[in-house]
Amino acid sequence: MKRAAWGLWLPLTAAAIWQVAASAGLLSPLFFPSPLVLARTTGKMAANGELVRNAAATLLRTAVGFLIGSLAGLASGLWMGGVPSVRRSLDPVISALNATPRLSMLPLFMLLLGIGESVRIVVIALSSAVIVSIAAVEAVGGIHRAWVDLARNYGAGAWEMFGAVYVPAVLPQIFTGLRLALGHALVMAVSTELVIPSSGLGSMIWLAWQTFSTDRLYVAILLTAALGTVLNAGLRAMERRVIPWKSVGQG
Amino acid sequence: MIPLLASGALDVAFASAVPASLNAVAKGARVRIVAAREVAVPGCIHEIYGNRKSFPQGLTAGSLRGKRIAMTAPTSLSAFLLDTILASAGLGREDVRPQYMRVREGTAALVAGQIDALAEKDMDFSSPEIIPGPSVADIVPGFQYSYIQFGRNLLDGDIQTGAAFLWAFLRGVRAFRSGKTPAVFDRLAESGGMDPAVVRGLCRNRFTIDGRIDPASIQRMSDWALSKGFIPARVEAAGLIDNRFLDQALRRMKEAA
Repeated sequence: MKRAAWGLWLPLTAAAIWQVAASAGLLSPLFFPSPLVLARTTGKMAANGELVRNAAATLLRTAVGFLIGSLAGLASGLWMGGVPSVRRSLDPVISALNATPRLSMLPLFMLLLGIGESVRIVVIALSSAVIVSIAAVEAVGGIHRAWVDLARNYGAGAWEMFGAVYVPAVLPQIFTGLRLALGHALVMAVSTELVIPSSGLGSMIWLAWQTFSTDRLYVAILLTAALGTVLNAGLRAMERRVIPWKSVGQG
Repeated sequence: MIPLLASGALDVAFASAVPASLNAVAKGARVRIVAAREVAVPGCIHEIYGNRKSFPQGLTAGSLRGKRIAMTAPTSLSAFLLDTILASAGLGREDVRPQYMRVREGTAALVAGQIDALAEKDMDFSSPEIIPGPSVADIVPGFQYSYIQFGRNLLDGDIQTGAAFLWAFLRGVRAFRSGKTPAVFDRLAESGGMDPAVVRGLCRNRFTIDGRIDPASIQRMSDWALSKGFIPARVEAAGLIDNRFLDQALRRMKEAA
């Protein structure tokens, strides 16, 4: 509860100031519709199912792309981290992909895969895979030699080494990578919807811009931001459960 | 573009009477259509292009049924033009498979065969695999596509400034139509890897010579936008038009002649 209050006071204060400024006529309603107007628009869009339909489309794309990309990134990252020759071979590829704007590859993927849902998923998955892969490589590289030696001296077998040393050591960094990747997955989902605007929050933003419906534009952007916050909070909650020792150091 | 025009970030926009323009005017924004630019001319401009493999018998309005057709947005001029073409064959958007994407991606997808057709006017495709479809000029003779729109800085400023802009534009149009600007075509040919002679021969009369606005064309788009739910209420064409600048520019041209 206390955590939620800390997270909410700033946006609520901003909304209150915005409302006061709008009511006082200091902001043009054409470009800065008041929070009350936005609340009414949100209500209308929720009532006719538009919000849920588009948010669900974006969420589904984000989830599927993130899941596929994270698994691929985790596998490749652990492999690269554990086998030096693999790391030397794949590192330039991962670095190159990391430096290339993923959205710029969209036309290429469209030529290869067509214009269906798969092309969006590939772009989102690629984005997640690169981030998780880099995090996993760093995580494996950061395992202290002393922990490994200590466990071996106490007679730990292969499975014990895996469960008691390697996994606990890499999980904190991997979770950081996953949180970053999830945020990027949402950004990529919305970005691809802006380019191929058939459904989703990006499509809503594009349509609102095309029709000069600023209230709808704000609602779609705020909903995207809220969705990102909720996804991040969800993953943080999972992180606290899976690796409780990490949060000790964070206070 | 229109929101930027309404905010004053832009002073002039070359745009159609798109739903953004209609909504801007309906909400009281200082955005107005001040002159016409392009008009549908038979045999001059095409509004839809198809991949030859998808239309072995030729691209007609009726042959679009069930096809994957790309356009930039459901609110765009290309969507309106597609609906006009479809309606001429008794079809609607529900009879085709619309795909929304930018022109750049749509062009690549069309050439690659990922879509069957692309609704976009005047693409000047040089690929033999791409064929043009029926022309809106045959369905709605004299339909005006696009306009010059002014934002609040010019609308509320000194009328001479806006009129001078239109005067210069119309002079450019007349020079263009009389074939006095081959450099434009040469640059276009060079950038697109096309034969300069073919490009120079493309029709030039799609630009209106006097910039006079056809309210019926605007009303047609307004009614379409209303029927699609892009605007909340009917917007009258007359409310979008401001003829002050064009009148002055044309007077000046007449005096100069």
